[in-house]
Amino acid sequence: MATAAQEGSPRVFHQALRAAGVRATKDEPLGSVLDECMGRLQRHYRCEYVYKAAVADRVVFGRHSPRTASLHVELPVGRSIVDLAVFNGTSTAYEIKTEFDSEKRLASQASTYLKAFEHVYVVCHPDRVERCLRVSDPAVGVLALTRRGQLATVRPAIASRDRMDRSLLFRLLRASEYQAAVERLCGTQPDMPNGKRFSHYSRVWETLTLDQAHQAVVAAMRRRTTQSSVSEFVSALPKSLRVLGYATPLSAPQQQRLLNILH
Amino acid sequence: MYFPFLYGRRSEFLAVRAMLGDPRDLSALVPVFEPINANAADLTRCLDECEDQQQPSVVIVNPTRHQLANGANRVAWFQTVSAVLGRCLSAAPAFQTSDYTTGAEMRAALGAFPRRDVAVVHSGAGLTDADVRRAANDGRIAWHIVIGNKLPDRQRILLPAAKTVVVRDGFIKQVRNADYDGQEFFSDLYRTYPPAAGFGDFLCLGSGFQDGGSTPAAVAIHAAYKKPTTNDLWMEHFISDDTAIDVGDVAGKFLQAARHLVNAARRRPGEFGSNQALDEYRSCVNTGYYPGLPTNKKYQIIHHMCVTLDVLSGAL
Repeated sequence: MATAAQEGSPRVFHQALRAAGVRATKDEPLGSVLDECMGRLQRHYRCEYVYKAAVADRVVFGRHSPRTASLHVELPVGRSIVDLAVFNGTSTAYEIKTEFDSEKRLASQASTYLKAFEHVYVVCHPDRVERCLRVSDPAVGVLALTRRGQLATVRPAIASRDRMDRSLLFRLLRASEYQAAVERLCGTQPDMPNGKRFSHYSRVWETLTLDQAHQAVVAAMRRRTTQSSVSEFVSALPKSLRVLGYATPLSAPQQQRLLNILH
Repeated sequence: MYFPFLYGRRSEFLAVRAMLGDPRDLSALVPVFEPINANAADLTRCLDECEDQQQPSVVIVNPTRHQLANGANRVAWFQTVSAVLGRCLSAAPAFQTSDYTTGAEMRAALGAFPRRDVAVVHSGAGLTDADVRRAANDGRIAWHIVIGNKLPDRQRILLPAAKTVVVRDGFIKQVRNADYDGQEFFSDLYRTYPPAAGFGDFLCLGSGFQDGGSTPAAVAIHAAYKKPTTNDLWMEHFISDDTAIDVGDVAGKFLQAARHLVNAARRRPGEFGSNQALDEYRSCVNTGYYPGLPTNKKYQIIHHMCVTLDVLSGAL
């Protein structure tokens, strides 16, 4: 997607479609062809991207709105990387376990996410529900992606902020974000050389309540993708590319070039 | 003569430009650039500054890595760089061989730069013995830069020793910065290279080109020094105390690693010498300033070139 946006040409899409044996006619918009491919994946090969697209579609574009709910793809949390994270008034982590994945790391991943998110869900294939229920902490919710592409709640997540870890929350933020949050909550901070900022601000951060720390993280993470330059762009993308849209940083001219190619 | 082999990334060019302001005698220094970026602006600026000071260098004019693996990029790049080389006579255009090179390709590429010194970087075994013999007798070829053992020995001995530069990669690359440990032998080429005309290395970067990278879990500073018991060049790896991705930040880790280097250089001045890069590290440690990882790389390159020039001149 980044290459197509840089080149302003559908070349790489057509190359990939040809390699996949998909014939695209010139009359059909590229976006529709990609959505049709996504439909086929949903029916015949439910890889991780199908699950991600379902969560984006049902949660961010369905239950909420991209103007108020922020989606983050492959977000590093501690030593793990959560597949999807949504920040609206609260924080929710979605760990995906397709029928091709192993649940071996689920327990340790979920225990990390429970320290950084108010809600944690594992999204899995219906055949893997029992295993996911058994392996994961009872506070972790389980969603099954049905054959029709809906997310069925098998077990709701148990929300809590008490189990959160301030240090994990702090590390989700960029330097400018934690500086702004600490200054807002704790007052002006002394000038600091950039090599010592992290240790100073992380020490002050430890004095925040868990509620304050969590709210500061939610506000900062929301700001990253709910601004109109992002939300309008991802809303204009075909459904099949929305997750990629969130995951691929593009300049405004690149976004426009990509939309011109797709529609 | 010392020929540090550099990939054309910004930090490499900045390091060479910083060296131009160094008080050392740079007459023994000939940086070799293998460009990798389609945009030739950094290379151009570096070559122009080298030209201003009549600092010799070697520039590979048939690069094939990274952005220049793309043929269209390469054509546009070559047009720009040909013009730059036209005005920068201190830079020797060089043809880099591979296992698939033909003599005709080499002669055509070097023929684009008539009436000036050129060089051949021998990185493969594609040339025939006759091609190598012909190149060895070509008066325009000022340097035959032989990378490791990429050129068959029977061909290497055909090259005139007075124009041969031996390049060896003494840097042992690890997958993760945290895996580097202590000190290790780097090279003794600076005193064993004769009868060749010069020697080179891939500094503390290694010969395997690697683009970018994600946030490192540990920060490393690889610093060359002269081992007092043998007078060989060794490499000491200074690693941050924090080596886990979820502990501390890169800026703090840089300062930890820099502090280790600064302390070692203070305790063992006869091994690390003194140079602008060590001054910069000392200043960072004293002020708590983090200059960024590309600048960390630039400082390491500068230190490496300074130490090598110092052992070569006998200053260290």
